[in-house]
Amino acid sequence: MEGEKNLVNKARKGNSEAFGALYDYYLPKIYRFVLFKVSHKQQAEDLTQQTFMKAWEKMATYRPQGHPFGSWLYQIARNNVIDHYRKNEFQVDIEQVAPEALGIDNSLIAKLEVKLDWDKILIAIGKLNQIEQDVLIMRFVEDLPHDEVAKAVDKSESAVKVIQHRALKKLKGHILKQ
Amino acid sequence: MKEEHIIKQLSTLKSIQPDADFARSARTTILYRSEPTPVRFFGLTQSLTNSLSIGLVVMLFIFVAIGGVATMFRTPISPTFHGVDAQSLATEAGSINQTIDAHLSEAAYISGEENKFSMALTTESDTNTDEEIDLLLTQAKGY
Repeated sequence: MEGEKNLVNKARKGNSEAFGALYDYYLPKIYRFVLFKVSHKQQAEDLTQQTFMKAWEKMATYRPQGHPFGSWLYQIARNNVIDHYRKNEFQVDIEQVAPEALGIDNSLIAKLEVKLDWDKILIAIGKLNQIEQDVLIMRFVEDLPHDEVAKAVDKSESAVKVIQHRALKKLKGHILKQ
Repeated sequence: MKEEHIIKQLSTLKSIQPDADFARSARTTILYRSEPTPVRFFGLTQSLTNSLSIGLVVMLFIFVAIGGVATMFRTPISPTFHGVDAQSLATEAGSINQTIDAHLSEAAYISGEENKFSMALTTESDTNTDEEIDLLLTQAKGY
């Protein structure tokens, strides 16, 4: 994001407009990330809001350390999702969740002609473990580079590459089994 | 299905966007109904925490250096235990000293007597030896 460093510095000093600009840029990314993890639109909205709320409240403690602000947001989002599953033992069965329930636009699906594949991919993603889901979503949905993913999931770059390779193979296997 | 195809499909998921209404209401809630922790307050909290930690460490060090809990329960001038009578303790110690002195005197007496007996034996033995030598010399002269 252009001018991110400046916005972050202002937000750290309590400038709400600066944080608002960061929110506008990162909201869709964090929302998608959470949505694919919880497979429920309402829960994804709640968890996304909590993520930005925590980030805003803790802005003064944020230290960039050479990584983009997004890595920190993904870390908060991941922890929120983990807490969510810890508190609520149930898990939504993604096989019973239609794309409409996830907030996926039907017209968009028809336009892209990928409806069948989307369904299959969403179900297959749900069968991966947490870290594999995180890496695949960040790498291929959000196009994050390896180093940013590594920072967000608290692993080394080489570990992320290994997880990515393994996750893709598993995802392919799950899709072919359907 | 190839992995490249899966990656391509994953990238299409990027078109999913949050509801505009949700995005707007969440923005308002986050920015205007919650407060960030001010940098100054955070810095002050951190410095107070650090100072408190250092203070506690110094106090612990001094506490250990002066001898800890045991020292706290003892008076510095008279280091005795509570419930012990000092006078009876001194009397008991005196009687023990007297007994030790008596035993030492007895030991010294016995040691002196043994020395005298030993000297007497040595003298008598020397006298007998001289007489035997004289007798042998006399006998030798006779030959």
